[in-house]
Amino acid sequence: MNEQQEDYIVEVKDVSMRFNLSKEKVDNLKEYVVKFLKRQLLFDEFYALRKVSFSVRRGEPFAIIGENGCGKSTLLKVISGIFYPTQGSVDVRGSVAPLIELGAGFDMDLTARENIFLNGAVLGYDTAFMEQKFQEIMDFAELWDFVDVPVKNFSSGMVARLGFSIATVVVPDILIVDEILSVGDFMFQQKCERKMQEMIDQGATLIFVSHSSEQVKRLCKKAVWLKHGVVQMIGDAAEVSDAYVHDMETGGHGLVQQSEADAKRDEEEAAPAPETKAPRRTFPFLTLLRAAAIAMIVWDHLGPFRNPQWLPGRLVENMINRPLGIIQSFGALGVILFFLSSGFLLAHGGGRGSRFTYAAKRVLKIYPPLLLSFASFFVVQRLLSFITGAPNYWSQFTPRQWLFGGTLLNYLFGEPDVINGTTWYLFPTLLFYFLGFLFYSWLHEKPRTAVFALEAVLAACYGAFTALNLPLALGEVARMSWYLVFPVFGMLLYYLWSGQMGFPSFLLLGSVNYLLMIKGISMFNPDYYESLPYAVSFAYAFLLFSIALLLNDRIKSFRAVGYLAKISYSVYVTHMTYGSLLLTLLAPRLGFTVSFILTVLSAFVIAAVHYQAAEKPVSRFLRRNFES
Amino acid sequence: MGRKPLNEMKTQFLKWKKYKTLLMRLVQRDLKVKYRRSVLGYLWSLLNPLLMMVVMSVVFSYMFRFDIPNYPIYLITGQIMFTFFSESTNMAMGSIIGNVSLIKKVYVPKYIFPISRVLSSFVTLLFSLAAVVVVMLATRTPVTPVILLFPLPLAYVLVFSMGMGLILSVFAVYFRDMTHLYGVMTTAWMYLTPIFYPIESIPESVQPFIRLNPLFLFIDCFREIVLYGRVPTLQNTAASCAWCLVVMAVGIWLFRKRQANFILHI
Repeated sequence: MNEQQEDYIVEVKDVSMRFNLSKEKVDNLKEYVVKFLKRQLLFDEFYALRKVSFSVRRGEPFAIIGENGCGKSTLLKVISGIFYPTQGSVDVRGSVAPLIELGAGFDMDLTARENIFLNGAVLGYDTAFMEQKFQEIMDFAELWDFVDVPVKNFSSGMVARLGFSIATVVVPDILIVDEILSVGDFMFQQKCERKMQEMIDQGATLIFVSHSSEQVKRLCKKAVWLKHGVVQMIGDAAEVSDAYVHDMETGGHGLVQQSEADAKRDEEEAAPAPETKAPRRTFPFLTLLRAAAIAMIVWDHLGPFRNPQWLPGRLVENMINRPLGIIQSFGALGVILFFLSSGFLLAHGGGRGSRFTYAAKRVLKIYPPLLLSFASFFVVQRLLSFITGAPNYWSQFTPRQWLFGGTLLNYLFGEPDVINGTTWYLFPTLLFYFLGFLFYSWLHEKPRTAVFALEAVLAACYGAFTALNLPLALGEVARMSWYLVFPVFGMLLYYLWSGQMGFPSFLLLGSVNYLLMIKGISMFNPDYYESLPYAVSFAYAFLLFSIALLLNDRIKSFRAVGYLAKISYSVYVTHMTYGSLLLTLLAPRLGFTVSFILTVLSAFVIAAVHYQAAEKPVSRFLRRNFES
Repeated sequence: MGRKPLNEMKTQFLKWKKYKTLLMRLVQRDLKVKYRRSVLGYLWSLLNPLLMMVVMSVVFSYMFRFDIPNYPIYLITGQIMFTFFSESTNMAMGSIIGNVSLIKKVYVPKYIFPISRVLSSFVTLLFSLAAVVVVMLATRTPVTPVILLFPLPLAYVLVFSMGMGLILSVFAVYFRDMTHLYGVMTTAWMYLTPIFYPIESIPESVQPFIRLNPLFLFIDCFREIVLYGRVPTLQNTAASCAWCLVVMAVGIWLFRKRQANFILHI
């Protein structure tokens, strides 16, 4: 069996070759952008070869026949390694001397002598060897009179002679010959054919392309007949070329026809299409966690954070948070839950489809709601201060601060977000998505590499922050980078859960990530190390997340919870500004408890309105354009 | 699965061995074609930076004055490094497109083309070093043993340019506008690199950005060694090595990923 296989010198298996003929017409800019993002610009396809398979036995001259444009030359180029097949594989066991286009690789400005050495090098022969063979090549080409003349002054026949002499200087295992013998004068053609016969006698296997059945019958034993890139017949050279001639005489319908549809279907079965979707899975546990997280954050920001003396807040603080070491009245816990779920979802959906689509989606999900929340609040607080006639907290900020806050640019300039106060979370999130964009193709196929690369980037950020005197923007990126350990934990959990990563890798990469977290906390936020232990909140969030993940199939989501999770991002970007404004208005009049309840309720209503105005149209746009 | 990378490395090595003659030939050809029919030939590699340095030091010594001791050396060190970078990357960018006829007809490892272009520019850079020596002698620059470290910055800029060359050659295939855009980019890059002005003359707030500019790092290293006779700092070394590694890694990765489809786009 093994010997049998060794006997084949060329094996072509299921080779298809696809070319993009021309760019599709695109009418408008929006379509162009969408098509670009989806990587569909190059669309007009043409198959030069379709599922071609055959084998060539060692020492058995083989012919490829067919009319012009049937894919013969493409096939030769695939065999000689110039084209990579779109599908299928080619096994070549031995050296190849392609006599495809003689004189390819000549530099017209150089002389014949220089070109012999250059072309020899193109074929992979070293200088010493070429010096040895120089005499022989020139003798065969009969061009001694022109040895130091630039090749541009040669006639095409002379170029072909020189090319042939160089290409045949070594007896190769496989000799690939396209219809070249029509070049040069009759004498030289005879000489070439003799030389080829000589090489075949010395053990070279000939692969010969022609549409002349005479030549094929004379030189070859086996043959394949191609038509429109599809194999019509494989077998004895005489039989195949007779069938070919017969077919030509009777109108050229061919024997085998493969319709476009068949080919398409075959192709889809053979290889997974590039745009495969992530398996549709729902994660009710994420819905629950997102709702819980946003509730925690709102509780923190509008409750105990605003009024530390508030009785219900104090109770929760004294009974739960303080003894359990939960910081920021659940605020940090909520944010970490968000981070974990971002990482989890990226690991789940990432790596499939185009990375540009992914990037566009992420940017469109983050920015419009953010911009809208700043714009609407700007108007509302201006109106309010106009009506009441008194300036409020937000009157002090400059247009630049509003603009920078709404676009997150303030972080690049090392300024805190004074207007909203919660947008800091978006900066590491964007950074995370950006790295996800960079390592996109690994997310699905090489989870370990992806996680490792992310951790390496974090380590590099830490290192650069300590060792180099980073300019402002980069310094800020490095300073915020440590928050990325949280989404990375989310990714690790997904990979472990889905079985894409074994437990040892999870443990190893997880430990590295843990160390990065601790190092990040102590380096960038020393407060969070001991007096406000962030890692404790992380531990709770991690446990909560893991337990919820394990219970995923048993979790039933209520509609209200589902809706809260859906608008959670809008709640996040609006609750702080509107909530603070309402609280300062209501609390002196109604007492804190009543105004807290009213404020929270209105915050949800305001967020719902923002959701309708920004997030919903965006997701509809995304669904229409990217998910068909 | 475990054996695959090793096999891959072995075939890559064999391929490299087979085609290293070609690499050398291509470098030779570039040099030959570059100076073909010029009377002074290779001498131009030495004369060019010298003459440029003379012009620029006249301009910047009389018209715009910078307070830099030993200005000619300061200028020529920066200038030959930057010229090498811009020339080699520019040539590497066109290398895939320019060798269509070969790539379409014979199998040759494609990275050979950008790499050979960078190497042939590097040979020119080595010739230009003679110009530095001439200027050093003329200005009586003190020579210290530290000068033996001079190959270090040259190695940086070589590796960096190779990486950039690989990246650009891929870009040029898929995004032809790059060839036009890159000229503008290198000009901007040149002005953002302290070649003929001292870094201190830039506003304090922008300086940290300029200090991350890889070419400034390399040039600074070269000047420290040649002009000031000081061993380059650890910071400079770390940052330079990081740039080289990252750009080279990205270049190799991008090139390997994209090379199979070159032929469909050129």
